[in-house]
Amino acid sequence: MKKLNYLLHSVTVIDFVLVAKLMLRYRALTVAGGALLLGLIPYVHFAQPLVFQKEVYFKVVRDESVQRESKLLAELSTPRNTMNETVALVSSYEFLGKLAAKLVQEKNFEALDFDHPTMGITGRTRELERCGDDSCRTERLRGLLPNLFSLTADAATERFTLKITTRSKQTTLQILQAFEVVINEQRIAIATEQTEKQLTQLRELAAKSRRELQGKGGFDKLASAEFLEALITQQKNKILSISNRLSQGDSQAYSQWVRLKESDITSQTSIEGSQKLIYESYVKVNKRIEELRQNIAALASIAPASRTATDSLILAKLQRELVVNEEELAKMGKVSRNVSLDDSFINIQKGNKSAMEFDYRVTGAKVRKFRVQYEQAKAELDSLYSRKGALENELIALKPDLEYLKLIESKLVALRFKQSSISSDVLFEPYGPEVQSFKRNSLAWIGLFSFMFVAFLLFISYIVFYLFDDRIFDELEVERCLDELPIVGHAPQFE
Amino acid sequence: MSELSLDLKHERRKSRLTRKRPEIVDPQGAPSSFYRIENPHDMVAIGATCLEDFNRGAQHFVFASTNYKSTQQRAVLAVASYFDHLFRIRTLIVSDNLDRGPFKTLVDASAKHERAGSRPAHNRFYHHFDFISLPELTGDEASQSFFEDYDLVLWDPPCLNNSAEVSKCMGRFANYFDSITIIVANAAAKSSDQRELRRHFDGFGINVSGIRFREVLKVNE
Repeated sequence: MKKLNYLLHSVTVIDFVLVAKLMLRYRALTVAGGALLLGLIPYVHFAQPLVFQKEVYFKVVRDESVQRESKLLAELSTPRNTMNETVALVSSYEFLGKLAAKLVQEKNFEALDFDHPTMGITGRTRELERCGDDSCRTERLRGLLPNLFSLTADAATERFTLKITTRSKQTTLQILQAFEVVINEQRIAIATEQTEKQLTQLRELAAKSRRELQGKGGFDKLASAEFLEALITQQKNKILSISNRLSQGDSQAYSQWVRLKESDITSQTSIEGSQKLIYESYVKVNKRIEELRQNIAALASIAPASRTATDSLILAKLQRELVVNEEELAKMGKVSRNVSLDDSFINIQKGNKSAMEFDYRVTGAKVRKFRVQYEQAKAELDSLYSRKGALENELIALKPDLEYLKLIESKLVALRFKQSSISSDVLFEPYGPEVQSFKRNSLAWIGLFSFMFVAFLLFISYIVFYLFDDRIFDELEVERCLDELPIVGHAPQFE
Repeated sequence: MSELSLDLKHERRKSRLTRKRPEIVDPQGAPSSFYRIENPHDMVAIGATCLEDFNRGAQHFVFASTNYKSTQQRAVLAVASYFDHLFRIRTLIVSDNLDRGPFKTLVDASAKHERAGSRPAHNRFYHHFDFISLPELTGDEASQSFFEDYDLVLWDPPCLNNSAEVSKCMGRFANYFDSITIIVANAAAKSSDQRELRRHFDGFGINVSGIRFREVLKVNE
């Protein structure tokens, strides 16, 4: 205990001067420490395994499309923190089990190295090697996997960094592949479960809302409103049809009235005799000119060389006659063709007048009938509108319930659609560093650590040696040993 | 009573020292030297310490160690030479081992004086100092009167690891010792031995506080 006090110092805690003395006093120990240090550094450096590390980045993309539509689903669903949820998922017992099961099913499972990247073969690794079946391997591997990868979440970028560290490049890559598959499956399972839950809740809400509406007679009123709407539409179509037919009848009756009136006027008029003769002469000259032109054309088609003298005389004669007739026709001026027709037309109108009068009376009867039908249909439409208005007033009171039910049902449809199209929300970034291989500790770090370790070991050894060494080495120890008696000097030496 | 006797003893020795002032006289026929000391400054330091005690009336100086006989004898010779060099006093060296170590050469060169009456046999090294073997001393009045003939008595007792001899020596002469110098060997002496040595003197009833302890560090035995 007294010696232990000598090791302590009031300022530096440890009396380093004494420690330095001990280093010189126990030189063999110091040399052994140096040798240990020189041996320890290369041993630790070369004994540590090569570690293969791969970093992968991924995001969990939030699907807020449903929530954006309304706050209803947001209220139904539990508030989610994607970052925490994903970290908790990856570290869950279930996830690790599925990841282990996926890896166990790999064809080259036996070739994979699941040893701890720094500690090497552990008890769990040995247990895994002793397993005889897949369930045992899965169970053991589940315990080993947390040592082989780590997941860190960056809240600022909402990005995850997956770092896989093993002692084999192949193992690192296969764990990464299995991780991607399993996390996608798990995210889909979670999304499906949540959608199912929301669907169930919405169905319950819809059923409850329907029951309430049923109790208030809402559905009957809705049905009545729809029926009334159909009736109104039908009545409108009927009115339109009647209106069309009435319009046609009116138009027809007016036309017949006009014809009848014109027929009456026409039948009372007569054509004068001179106009009739001029027209007959005009027709006769016209006909002659036509004939002359045909003949002239026939003779003109013969080549002048092959014409006979008779042909030429006839052609000249016909041409002269044509000129004469054309001059005569010109003298007649404009002659109305109606003159010849008016006479027959007047005669026809006189014959048809009785039939026209009959048709006009029939059409008038039809128009009157359509008008009555139109008025009736219009009255019925007004009645329907009146009933509809009363019903709408009742439906206004039910509108919030109806809107609520409508909203729920629209969300149900949206959720059903979502359920049928659920996909993983995990998005792995395609770029990232390649697999890096390195030794966990650098030579400098090992050197520093070894030096500190050996220094500590030596320090402890010096203390132990000092405490158990009863020898006296210097004057100070003599003084301490013999209660501060003074030192006289060194014993005389003879030559 | 004991304090009174000590004071008387001190005064008597002091008067004797003042009576004999230093007179350097070369002895006739003595060899020029037997030993040459390597570290005279250490010899002077030890001698000066003893001289200081001597001036205060001390007569018997003991040089003890656990197992370093040769060093004990060298220390005794150094102090004897120091006093012999400075003063013309009579010095007695008491040793249990005169026929070995550094003493042997001097004892061989000394003149032998046989036992004469109560006066024990001893050797006289010219006119420098006398040697006497420890067994020659009985510790009785004869020894007391023998010591009275000397101004300075230097003791080379048995090494303290020889407990039987030490006990015999201490039992008879402990009450004569005025100053005890302990010799400690560097890197060889054990602190437990030194403490045992201290207890040893206490065990013989020596008033430790009244006796000056001096350590002489020995480098090479």
